[in-house]
Amino acid sequence: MKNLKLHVATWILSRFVPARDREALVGDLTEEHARLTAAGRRDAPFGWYLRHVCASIPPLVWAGLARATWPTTLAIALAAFFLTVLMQTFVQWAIRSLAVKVDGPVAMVIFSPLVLLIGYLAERIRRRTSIVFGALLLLTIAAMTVWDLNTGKLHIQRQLPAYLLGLAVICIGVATKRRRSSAR
Amino acid sequence: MAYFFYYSKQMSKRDESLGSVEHIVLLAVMRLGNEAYGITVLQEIESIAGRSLSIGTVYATLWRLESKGFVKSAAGEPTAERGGRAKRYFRVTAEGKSAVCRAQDSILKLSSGLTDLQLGK
Repeated sequence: MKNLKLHVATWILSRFVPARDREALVGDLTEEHARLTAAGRRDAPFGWYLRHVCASIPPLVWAGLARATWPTTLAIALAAFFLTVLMQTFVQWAIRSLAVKVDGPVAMVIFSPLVLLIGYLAERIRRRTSIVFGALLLLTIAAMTVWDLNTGKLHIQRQLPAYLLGLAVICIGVATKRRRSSAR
Repeated sequence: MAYFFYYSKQMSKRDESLGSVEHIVLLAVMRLGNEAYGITVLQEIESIAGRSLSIGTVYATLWRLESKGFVKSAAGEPTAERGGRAKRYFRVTAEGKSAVCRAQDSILKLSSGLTDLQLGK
């Protein structure tokens, strides 16, 4: 029964340890557990083991988050995406307040440099962010296309430039990545 | 714009300072020499410094030190008492040694001239 508890505790702990160090960390715990058991203490080894498993999970989770690059990349890409939405709202409001009739593609010409600039800045802050940002833009436009298809009012002339813009933002990330690898 | 890029570069730069736990772990690895691996580092800290850490904290700190370039690790030999699992040995690099020297130096400089009263003794 105690062995089963030990196995369960080890399994839970090993979920939070990177594969490279899993063997070493579990081995360290097993070694100390064996030493304490050999010292003849009845319940102390298991208590020691369980205490270390429970106390180890928070720092291991934190270390995992700190080492992972994707949460930061995603956070910057999301910030860029919301900034784009904010910019779009502002540009549309500015056009309306000028009382000028501007159709979709023309608004896109005004809006595109802003999006490309945001994509470029996001890429400068963190690598591969513009790829995630571009993917978010493409997903949003795709969702809008699906919505239009369902309602039977497809505005492809408005959405096609947006698709191209999303791809252009991704290209910024790819081009920067290539430039970095050729500079090395 | 120039300031923006300056700060983004500074943020991505490697942090070369030592936290208090990092300092202790690094000293323990230095003391242990060729015998520094997870559990021995933990025991050294407990027996010498009297601080109780979890094995997870020790490993998380060692990973952080490794990413800063202050320690290097290598896989060791598997043993029977470890259930056939290999050890991971850690050793301090030259950068790690100079980081310890810098940290010790600043502590000495800051604490010099303090009276017992100020230290609360």
